[in-house]
Amino acid sequence: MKNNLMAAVAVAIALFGGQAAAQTCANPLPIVSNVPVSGDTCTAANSLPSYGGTTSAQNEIVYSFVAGPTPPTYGDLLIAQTGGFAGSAGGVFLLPACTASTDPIAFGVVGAPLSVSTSGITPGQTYYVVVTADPGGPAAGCGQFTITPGYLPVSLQKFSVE
Amino acid sequence: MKANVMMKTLSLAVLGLVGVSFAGASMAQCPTNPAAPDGPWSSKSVLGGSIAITSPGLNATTCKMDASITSTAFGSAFVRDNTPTAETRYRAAFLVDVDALTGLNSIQSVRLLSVNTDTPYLGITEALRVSVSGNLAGTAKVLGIVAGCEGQPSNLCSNTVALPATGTQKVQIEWVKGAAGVVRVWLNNNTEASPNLTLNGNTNGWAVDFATMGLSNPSPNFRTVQTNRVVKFDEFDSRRTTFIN
Repeated sequence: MKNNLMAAVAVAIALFGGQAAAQTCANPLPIVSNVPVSGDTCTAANSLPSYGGTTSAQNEIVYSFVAGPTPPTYGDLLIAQTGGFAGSAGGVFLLPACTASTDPIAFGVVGAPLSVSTSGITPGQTYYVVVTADPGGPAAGCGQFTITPGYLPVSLQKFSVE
Repeated sequence: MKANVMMKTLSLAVLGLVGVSFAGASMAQCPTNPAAPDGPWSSKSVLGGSIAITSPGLNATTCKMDASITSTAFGSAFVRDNTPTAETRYRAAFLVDVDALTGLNSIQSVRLLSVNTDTPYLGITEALRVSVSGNLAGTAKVLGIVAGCEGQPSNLCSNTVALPATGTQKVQIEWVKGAAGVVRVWLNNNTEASPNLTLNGNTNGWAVDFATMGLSNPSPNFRTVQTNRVVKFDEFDSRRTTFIN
């Protein structure tokens, strides 16, 4: 019983510890079709001080996906605020590279989803989904959110038959 | 050049007329080219953009510089001042009117002022930059301030200053080199002791060798949406240390 409990604690540390670290450009979280993801930018860091020319002093959480073969249409990314963001607003940005010098190619807010289909994405390229508070708002802006992605086909990276 | 003296005064009201009274001056007294040999700026870059000297200026002055991005593919419309030389302290002030940039949102950004080094440090050439962008809703504008800051994420420090809804804005920046360096920003504020924004960080790897004023590095969405919209500039002044009233 004790061993089971310790194992559970170890798993929990691995999961949540990994999650805390894995939300920056260096180690983004995955985002896949039709699987909502939730987070809290208040517990994140400001790992990207700018998105290209857009100054971003707010904390952010970074997800990524590799665009698959061009489908009939990509789904949208819907953002919902579930708490916080007082005096600000939650936003989701799509970046073709995860650097402070990269301009976003699209963004979405509550009520106006990020349209992946119209963002001119290239199959096979990695894209970064950055969730943050309004860069035009206070630097301390942060909150809790859920992102609901639509159809985001991913490229097949490896395949084997055994 | 002596320390703590005016580095450069480039009022666009007096382009080509320094030392000359311009009471009752007319548009004919404004040079058509802001850069040498006609104007006081060292050079200009106009590629996918437009620069025009127009009358009147922004502060009961005679002339101002109108800059716009005219291409959706790329764009620059700025003038360059090569006066600084490995400066360890740098102040600059200018007037700007961005009212024509309607609906500016968070993915529409453009540089207004870029303070640069000739010897990039950590891959960063800009000791300091001032950009304008909007909020998510496209209903408010902010000045974005980004400075080289060793040890911070991406080796940059950043923050924003909210712009009033309309009108001519007076922007003043101060950049100080040092392991405990500092960047200060005043917006429509003549109280030196109370800057609107202060960034603290390690700026020791950079120095100021030149500055550009105008429109540069427009984001893709800025180029698409804000094409041909004019941003007005006037009364640029740069110094080493003295506050610019």
